[in-house]
Amino acid sequence: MIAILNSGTGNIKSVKNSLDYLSISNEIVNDLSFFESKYTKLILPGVGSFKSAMSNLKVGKFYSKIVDIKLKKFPILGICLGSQILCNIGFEAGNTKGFGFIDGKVGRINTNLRLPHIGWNNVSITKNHKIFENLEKEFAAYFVHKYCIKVPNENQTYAVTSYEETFPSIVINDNVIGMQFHPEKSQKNGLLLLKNFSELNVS
Amino acid sequence: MSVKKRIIPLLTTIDSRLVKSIKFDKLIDVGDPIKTAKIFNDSDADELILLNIKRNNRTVSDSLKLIDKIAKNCFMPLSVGGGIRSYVDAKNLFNSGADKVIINSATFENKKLIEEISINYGSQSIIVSLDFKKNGNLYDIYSECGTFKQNINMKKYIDEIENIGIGEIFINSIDSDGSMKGFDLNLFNFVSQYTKAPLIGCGGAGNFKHLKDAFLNCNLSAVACGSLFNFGDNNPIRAKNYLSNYNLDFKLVNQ
Repeated sequence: MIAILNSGTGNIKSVKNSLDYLSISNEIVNDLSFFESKYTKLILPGVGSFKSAMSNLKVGKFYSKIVDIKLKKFPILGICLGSQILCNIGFEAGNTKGFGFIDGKVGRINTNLRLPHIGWNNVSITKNHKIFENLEKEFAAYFVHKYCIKVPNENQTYAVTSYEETFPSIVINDNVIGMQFHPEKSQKNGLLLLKNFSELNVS
Repeated sequence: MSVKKRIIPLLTTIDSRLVKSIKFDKLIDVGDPIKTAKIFNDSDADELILLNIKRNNRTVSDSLKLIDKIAKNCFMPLSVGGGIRSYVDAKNLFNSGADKVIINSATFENKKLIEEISINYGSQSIIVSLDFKKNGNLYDIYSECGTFKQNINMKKYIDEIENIGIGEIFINSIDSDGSMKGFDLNLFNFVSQYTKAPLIGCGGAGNFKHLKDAFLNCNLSAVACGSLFNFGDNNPIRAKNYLSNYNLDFKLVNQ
């Protein structure tokens, strides 16, 4: 069963709706204490700011539990802000340390175009992975963000997207996956990614 | 390569029925919003906007019921508005499946509302809606479904709400609403110069050429269309096929 973490803010219903639609068993959880006894994968949704997201996770005592889940190799999927906090540090509203599961800093998208980057944009796959099964090399997904991963690690960059600046739209490090776009809002391709995520084996 | 342009079907409702208006008036019933939303979802619409335009005794509870049903089978962004007055209204809508909330009248009275939503759900979850009526060569801003004229300085207002943090601005022309004679492009360009937010243009679309003119002559991120898709047999897929001849980038069905 997949655990969708409710750390206090954000819209987690869409993630739940999409997994329900795919008949993938899932639960919204407010407590990760007994994660291993019931769940095999974790989804970190996220809206708000890097700073408030990390603060909520520390307040709710989720931080150390998530580190533990990562070390035990359970697949973790971070969505949007949830993917950004997987990185080393975020520069939104001051400097905030992230989990450091993914190499990279999170800063404002370098562009003269209007922000947020909102709407459908192309995701171009740069490295193969099981999670891309049955997906085209380039597909459209729904983005809504002002910040992106900077100075990424090429080995952890699996797909890129451009909004004047080219940034990683999918990052993967072993059992940790981050998607800058919203798969639960990206129709067929997004649902396919979620389905593939649900079928990943614990490495 | 950049973000694609969006064509957003607009569902205006009163008491759980889909309605069409002309100049925010002369309302007629044009169907069932849930069935209509499903058709748009099945044809991979970019997003959906649901607006409750009931005049009297409007609460968000009608929207909550609709959104709850629509969101279960809708895997693109859903924006909901109409009568949002409090943070609790917004929170309930998000909990029912809305991705973005559209706020109009309440923002004039209470900027703290959008501040609170922004802090908890992110600024990108807020669309501030502005309704305009022509006044000679200029435009007046109206709230309360076009019944109350706001005497505010638009630049100052937009600066204030952008400082608090918003996602997009939805521009609606009351004069062109429901006319199906074309958008008010001057209006879009007028507002555009005062804001850095992505813009959704609305009011008056009647054929695909209107959409082409809007995208080619205005800096719009998206257009929202009510009558074009709900009062006739046009659909976003055919619109995109037409527009693809003009070097405009859209999410296509097979993507």
